[in-house]
Amino acid sequence: MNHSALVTEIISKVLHSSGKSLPSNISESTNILKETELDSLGLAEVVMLLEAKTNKDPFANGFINFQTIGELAALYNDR
Amino acid sequence: MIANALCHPLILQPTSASQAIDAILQYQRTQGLLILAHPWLRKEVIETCAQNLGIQQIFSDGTFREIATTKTPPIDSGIGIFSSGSTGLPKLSLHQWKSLQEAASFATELESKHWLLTYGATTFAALQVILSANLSSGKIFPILPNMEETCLLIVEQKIDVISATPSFWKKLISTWPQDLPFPQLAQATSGGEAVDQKTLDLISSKFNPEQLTHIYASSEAGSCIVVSDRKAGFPSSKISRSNKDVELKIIENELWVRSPRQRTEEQGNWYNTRDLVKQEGSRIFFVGRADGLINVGGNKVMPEEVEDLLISHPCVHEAVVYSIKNPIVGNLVAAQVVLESSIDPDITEQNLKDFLSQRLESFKIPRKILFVNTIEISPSGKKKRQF
Repeated sequence: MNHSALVTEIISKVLHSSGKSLPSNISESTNILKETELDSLGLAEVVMLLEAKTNKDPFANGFINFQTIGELAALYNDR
Repeated sequence: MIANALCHPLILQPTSASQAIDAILQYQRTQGLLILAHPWLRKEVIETCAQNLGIQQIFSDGTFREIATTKTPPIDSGIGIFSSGSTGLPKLSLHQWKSLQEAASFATELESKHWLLTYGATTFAALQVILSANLSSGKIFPILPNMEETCLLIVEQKIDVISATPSFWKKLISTWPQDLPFPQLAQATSGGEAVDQKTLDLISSKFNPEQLTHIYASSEAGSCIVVSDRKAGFPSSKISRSNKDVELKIIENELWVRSPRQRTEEQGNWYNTRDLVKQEGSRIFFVGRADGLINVGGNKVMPEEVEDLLISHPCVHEAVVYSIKNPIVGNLVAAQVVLESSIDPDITEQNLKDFLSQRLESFKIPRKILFVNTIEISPSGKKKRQF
């Protein structure tokens, strides 16, 4: 299952809660911190919400680098 | 069972509050050495402590036994209280009966009262209550497992002295049955946690106590500050005044204490309480614990600050703020909130976050707010901040 839609939805929700919104040209290759207004605290919240939604913690054994929506979504794919 | 042990040094893990009360009073009469072990301490931990301390008799897990040890106890008369022991071996604080009795002597004006014991029987706070009640010929009633039963107990047993943490007071008042009138108390005391004005006013308006006191004490430093003017915080004159009794000083916002009642091994030394304080005008307020700070991406958050702000919202009755692990920033702030049921049932997590973001930096805002029916409190009566 591809989680890109879920990641995008949650980013949008977190942005909304601080009065911001997603850029219109969002895609899997969008760099989350550079191309949206999400800051690292917002990203931290996104990851927290993703864990709650998917019941998965891909970072349980240490940090995994990611930059784009697609890369973050891939961490939650079934392996 | 415990009667055989009388006079001999004993580590007691009581199976009930009344067993602890009986033992404390018996050992006080005989001026023996009694160490109280919390119910959650494991048998092996207690045995190790007994060996290290040179104490041969143990009552734990509901059974009495003797162990072999070559050491001799550090003191032969007094009482020992363990720290909570969440990490490693619990730390023991030893107190002489004499200094405990001195601290309890304020109660002599409360002759023959009925005291509610709200604290876990093996805590320092419980010890203060038990000795104070005994010294003034009072009767002690331990709380019941269920808060509503405790409300009835207060009324039926005509309780007139209650000492409890602010968390306990709030829980008691919020579960008080609607059709049960609040009795007037002779003495209401708040201790164990910093108390805010809202809580003092709440106790005052419900129980209309003749005396309302908040007390600052710890198992290491004993009873240090007693405030009876019904205002939160304590007057800064307690710091500047040179006092032959308790001395206080503030170093880098942390409160240090030197007291004749502090644990026996550290008499004469200054003790860092690790409680953070701030001065506003001529009043000093407790703002949190130095070891309770939450590190959010390098920024420090004091859970008490966020809790106080949440509680200042008209719809919030009680709140606890704690940390949750996060791979991006290390930790995030989270909160559990008990709503004031009557005010606005439609209030949302987002409403509270918006309320906080107008008043706090963004790293202090809880990223997860759960609405709960009750905030869990530990046996010592304090809010649990670990989940």
